[in-house]
Amino acid sequence: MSEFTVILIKELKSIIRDPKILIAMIIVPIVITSVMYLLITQSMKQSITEITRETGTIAVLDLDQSEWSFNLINYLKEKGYTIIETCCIEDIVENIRSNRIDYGLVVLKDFSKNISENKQGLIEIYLSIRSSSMFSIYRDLRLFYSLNDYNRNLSKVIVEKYGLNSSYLFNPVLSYNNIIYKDIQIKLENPVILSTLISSTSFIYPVLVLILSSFLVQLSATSIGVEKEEKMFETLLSLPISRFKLIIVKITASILISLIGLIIYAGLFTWLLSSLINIPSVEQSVDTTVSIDLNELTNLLSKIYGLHDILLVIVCTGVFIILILSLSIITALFTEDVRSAQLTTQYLIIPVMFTMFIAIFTDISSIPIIVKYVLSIIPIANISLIQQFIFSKDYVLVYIVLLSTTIYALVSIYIASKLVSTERVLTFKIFRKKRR
Amino acid sequence: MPVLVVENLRKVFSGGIVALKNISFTVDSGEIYGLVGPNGAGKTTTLRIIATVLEPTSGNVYVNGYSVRDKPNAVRQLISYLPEEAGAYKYLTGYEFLDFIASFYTKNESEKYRMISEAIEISGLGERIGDKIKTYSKGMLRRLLVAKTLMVKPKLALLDEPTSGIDVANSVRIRDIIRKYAREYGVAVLLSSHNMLEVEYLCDRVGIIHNGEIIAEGPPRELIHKHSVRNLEELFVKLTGG
Repeated sequence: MSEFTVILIKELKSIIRDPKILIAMIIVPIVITSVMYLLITQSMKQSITEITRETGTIAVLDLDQSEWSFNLINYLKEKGYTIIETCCIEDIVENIRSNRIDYGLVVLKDFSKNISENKQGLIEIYLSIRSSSMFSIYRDLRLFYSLNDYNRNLSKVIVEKYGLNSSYLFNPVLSYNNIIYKDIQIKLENPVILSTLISSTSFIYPVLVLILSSFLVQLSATSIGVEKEEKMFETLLSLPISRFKLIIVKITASILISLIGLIIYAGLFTWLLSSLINIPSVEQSVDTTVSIDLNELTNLLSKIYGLHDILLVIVCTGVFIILILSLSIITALFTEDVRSAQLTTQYLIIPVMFTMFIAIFTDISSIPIIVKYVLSIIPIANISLIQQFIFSKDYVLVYIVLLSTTIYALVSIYIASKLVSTERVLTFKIFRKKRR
Repeated sequence: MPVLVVENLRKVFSGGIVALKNISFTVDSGEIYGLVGPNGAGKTTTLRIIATVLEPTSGNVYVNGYSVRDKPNAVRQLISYLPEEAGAYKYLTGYEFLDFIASFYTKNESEKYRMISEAIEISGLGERIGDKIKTYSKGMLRRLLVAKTLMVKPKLALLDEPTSGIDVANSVRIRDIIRKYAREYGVAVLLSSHNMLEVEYLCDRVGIIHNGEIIAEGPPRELIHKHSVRNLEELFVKLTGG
């Protein structure tokens, strides 16, 4: 076995057997994601079922007492609401305040007459907001959604009574949407889906890079901290192995462990995401249940991001990971133990977090090209913009990002290996452990 | 030709602290040389420079003719170093740790197996060699570390307080093993110790180091006779003033 393999196996064994790392990196994410999955999916399903069930008690004050007011009340009964009659508005308000009823409905005088004369029939709705939670608000508003449905149905009846086509009347203009993106053309019924999809990729990529960076720098800093804490660093430096190899092995071990972690994360994340996508949205649930096909989304995305683009993103991200790992090793070299080594990672994660969040909310398409060139060579910041550069097919900028990040990564590895070759790693301490 | 040649070695740390003031000595093949001195005298600094962990400010160190300044990688192939405050990877077993160290010195599996078997014998850990290091006592860990240092049969073994933390019986055993490796395999041993009895018993020559200078050097018996004292301890107190 080469020295590289020997150290790599040792690193993997140490990391995997260390319960602190195992708990923090593997068990906790699995538990958190699973609990998140159960909580989110179950509560969403339950809430949506409750909303779509359209039940509740409505106190009705019918001041009209004629054809269309009876029609409305019967419609609500058919939808599953319990209707009770009431004598006055004060009674409605009092009952809502004391939670005895869910809603109040006052059908005003001349409601039917107005509708028959092509005027708007007037009603008043009373409801209360009982909680600040999203689903609770939707539940509180479900009578409002039911009345929207009634309105739509009534419009159809009225329009068709006059011999008109309701589809035409509600949507006199029907558009066939063609999205032109660079040299491709995509036909879409609803362009909002595509724009949402694109904006979500510009959100997901920086977040993924941030999660991955946090995960990786913790691991590499820990692997250096362990050498110091377990007092193996001096022995390691006297062993017949090149210092450069030592740094490369540390980086490789961190990447390998992170890949295992990433696969677990990605699996859990996909599971969670697909479960969420397959839950119909509240608006959809009220109207009709339509689930989004994941394959359809993938097909749409592949029309925008080709294989070449995906490879570029992967390569750039890979080089960035090597850069961030070597930087984390450099800072960890000046610490005394695992705890202080891990603390130093915040000095790297904060700028990553900062630039990634800026990238999510910034549109760089309209800024001057010279500024784009400058941004493309700023370490860390440049990688946060890679998705936007690729979307706009600015391949020159993408290659500048790749080249500059590669140079930074190589320089960082060189500095790290040179530092290990000097006595500074033993004699110079930035992050000292507090002694009691 | 001596295995180790230390020539006018000087070390000044940042902040101007002078740790070594032009010290010189040699160690021959099969010889056990003891560096003794009070705390802060420069023993560990000397060992660290020879182990290529620290860089000399001036002067040079040669191991089998290779300079620590110019050929540190070649020096590392010839030495085996036991730092005073050494530890081991606590989540590896004793066996895995020995396997890890041996892998740097040989690619031959049977040679590696021989090294590990010898180390198990030196350490006296028996069945416990299969246990994780975190379960070892301080003495067991030190025995494992001495074993990993000697098992590779280096040209030069650098032992900083080899028996520190080890009980009397095991200390005696370790000393016998160090002597055996020096005599039978021609390993040159440079050790530092506070234990004068150990140095007197084990070392062929000693260098008494004080304030970064070697103030006396020679075989223990010769030094005792020359300075008209009863033992090395008295000599040490006499020369260092306390």
